[in-house]
Amino acid sequence: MNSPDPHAFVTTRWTQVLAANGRSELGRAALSELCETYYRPVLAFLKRTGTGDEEAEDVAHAFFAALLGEDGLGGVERGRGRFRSYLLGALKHFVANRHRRAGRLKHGGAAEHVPMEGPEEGTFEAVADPAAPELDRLFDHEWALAIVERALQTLEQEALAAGTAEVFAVLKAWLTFGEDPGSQAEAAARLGMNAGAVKVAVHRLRQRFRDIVRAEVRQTLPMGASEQEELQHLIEALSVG
Amino acid sequence: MQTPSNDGKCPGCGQALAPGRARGLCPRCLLVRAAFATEAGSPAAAAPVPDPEVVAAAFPQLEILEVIGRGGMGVVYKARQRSLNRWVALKLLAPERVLNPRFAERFRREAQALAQLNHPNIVTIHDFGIAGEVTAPMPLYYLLMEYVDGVNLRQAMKAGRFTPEQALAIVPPVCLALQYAHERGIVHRDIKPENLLLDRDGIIKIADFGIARMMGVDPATPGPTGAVAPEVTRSAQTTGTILTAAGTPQYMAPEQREPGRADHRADIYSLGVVLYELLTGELPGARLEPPSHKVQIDVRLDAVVLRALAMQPELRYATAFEFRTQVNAVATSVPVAEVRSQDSSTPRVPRLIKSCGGFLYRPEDVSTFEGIFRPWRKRGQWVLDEQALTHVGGAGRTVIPLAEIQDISIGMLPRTLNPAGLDVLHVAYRESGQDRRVLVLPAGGWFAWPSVWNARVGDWAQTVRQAVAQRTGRQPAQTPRDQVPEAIAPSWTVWVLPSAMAIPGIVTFMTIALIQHRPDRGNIGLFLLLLIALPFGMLVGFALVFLLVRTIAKAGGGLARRPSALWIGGLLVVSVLVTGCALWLNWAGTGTAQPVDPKAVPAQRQQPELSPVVPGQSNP
Repeated sequence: MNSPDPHAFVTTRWTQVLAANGRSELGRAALSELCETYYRPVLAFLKRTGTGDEEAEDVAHAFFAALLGEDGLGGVERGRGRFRSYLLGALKHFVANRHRRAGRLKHGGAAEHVPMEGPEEGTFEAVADPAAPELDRLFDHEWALAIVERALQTLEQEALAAGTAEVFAVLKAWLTFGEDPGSQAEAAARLGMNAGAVKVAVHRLRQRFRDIVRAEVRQTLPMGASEQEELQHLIEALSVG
Repeated sequence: MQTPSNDGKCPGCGQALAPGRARGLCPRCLLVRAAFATEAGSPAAAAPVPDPEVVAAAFPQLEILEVIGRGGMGVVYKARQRSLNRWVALKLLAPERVLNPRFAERFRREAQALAQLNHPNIVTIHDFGIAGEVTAPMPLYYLLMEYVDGVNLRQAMKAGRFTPEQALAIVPPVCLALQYAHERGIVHRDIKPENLLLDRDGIIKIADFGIARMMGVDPATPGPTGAVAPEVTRSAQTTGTILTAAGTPQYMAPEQREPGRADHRADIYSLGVVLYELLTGELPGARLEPPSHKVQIDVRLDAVVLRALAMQPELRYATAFEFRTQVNAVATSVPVAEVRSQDSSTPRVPRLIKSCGGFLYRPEDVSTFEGIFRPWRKRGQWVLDEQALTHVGGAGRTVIPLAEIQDISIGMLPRTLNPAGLDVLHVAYRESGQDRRVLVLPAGGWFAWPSVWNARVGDWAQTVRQAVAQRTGRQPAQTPRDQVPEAIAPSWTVWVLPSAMAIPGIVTFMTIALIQHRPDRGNIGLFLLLLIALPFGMLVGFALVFLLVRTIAKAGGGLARRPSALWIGGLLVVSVLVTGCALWLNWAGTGTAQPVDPKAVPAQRQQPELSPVVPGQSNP
């Protein structure tokens, strides 16, 4: 936690974006890549701020277009912080602007947009205020999920490329807790591998998963920021509920 | 595979699962693994240490000083308890090990049991609990313990070798503490030098009682099998150990590898390993060598240590107290100077001459049916040194001083025990004015060809004779083989034992015969006849052999001579011929012919009884 991060001085994607200040091709490409990964948290956030399902996708596209556009999001201080904080800040700014515009268009002052249909089953009730803390948590929750899913996807693609897709499909359960030795033996039998080989494969899978997750998190951090701290924050975000 | 529970919660961490996301896996567990889980061999193997500031914030009642030990199970801080102004050791359990929601319950239960232990040789637990709010999402499970100002045995061993008397001084108090805990149903499961602390006054204290079980790294308890880290220890109060397959469990009893089998005797084994290491500076290897083979120590310690290290728990000391008694017996009976002679080149310790596993019979043992089997059940160790021939384990401890040995001869076991004709060493000696006689059976493994066995007995006879000659300056007497009084087993064993051996053979034979020739009206009478005649014939055959041998022995005629090659060859030819005739009769006949000549079978069965009888020529 306190120990110096050995990867601290590797240029991260987010560092590239910050350095380019959104003007160079490289910086724009890096930002575009980051935005692609974190599309879902943005979408989830928009849905909760009272944007309808279909509209939310359009709004998300508009948001990213503005973010990646020539002048980026004027008025948003990029600062030197995490990409997660930056994206959330930009999103809030974007939504607030949009609400203001919508209000002006309706000549009804700054009235809040209320969705016509009721809230979806299983979701919180629509929260219009983009500054509400629940929304921050929701965004971080989705963010953590996005990181995990992307890492799993990368693992799966690697397994496909290596021709071990079936092994991955069976052994991925050991990336979490709650396994027991009996079931590992069972998996070995299913895969036609011996127990030792399965053990090694699980060990490698865990190692690789850890590397990918850490690399992914690192991409969103400015130089010198603690990877472990960010990971802890994300675990906390997933612990809610 | 991850078992989806009914309420959509992760069985690992209890968090709600996100349906349709993250491939159905628990995202939180995944991230926790990525953030905390470390595997043996990975660079960041030891559990992460919480920041001292974080710990200080979580425990305002303590003044956190420094980390004094860390390892796979957590981290230990030295701290001062402000209210009582005393030193304490604060142990924080490794966060990745405590993710299981059932852990909290197990932690509470175990800690309460451990807090009941109040013994001068056990590190006292002052308090335990969970300090969660400050360090969410990772709750801090902690144990507040007595701080031991000193070193652990590992550090002490590194600082300098223990003398045997020092090593022997350490074991008894540990035994007492173990006995105390065992009586309360608490097993340590992780005795090793790192967990034995020596304070400044030289008092030994056992640390981390039951932690292995609590943390679920003991395979004997089901629990989260998580990552494993090698021990990183800087000070006396350590953080437990690693017992999973990834570690090197040198101190673990064999039965601890299997779930649910280990009991308090696992601690006795582990303490045996520690004693072995204290004495020799090495861990017992795959082939267990007596400590005296490696260093110069009292050979009687061999038996004491080896018994604690028996692979089967039943062969070890039954209690820690018994272990202590044996260690004390050696430690107190021999003056310190005799245990270790550092100054003199001529050792005053008896030098070990020969040692092997084996049995001890007394002639009276074989005179009862039960007694025949008793020594076989209890295998012990024969140890021959310059002063005595000692049998340890089995049915107690027997020391035969070499100076008292009168006669060393080779005889034979009673026939009933000894169909193969095995030799046995007869040793006659005087003990408190009385003549005694024991039968010495040195055994290498669990099975030996008669020739190998007899050669070993001959070897032992010669070695013991030489040792006696060297000790006393005179050769012990030697009774000729045919005059060695044979121990006589009770007469009815003559019937019981062969019957027990013959009946399975008869049953098998009859089954096969019945399958081949289904009885019908035509030959049912014949089968009934067979059914009676065959066992009868076999029993009579056996009985004749045994009675003959017995009669000869009783009549003082010594033992039957070992048959010559001609004898054995002739017998083989005859039995093959008889069998051949029987088979020919069976096949040539039309189904009503006798399937087998009843006499053929006894003839065959008698053969192994007769063939190896008595080596007449092997007397030197």
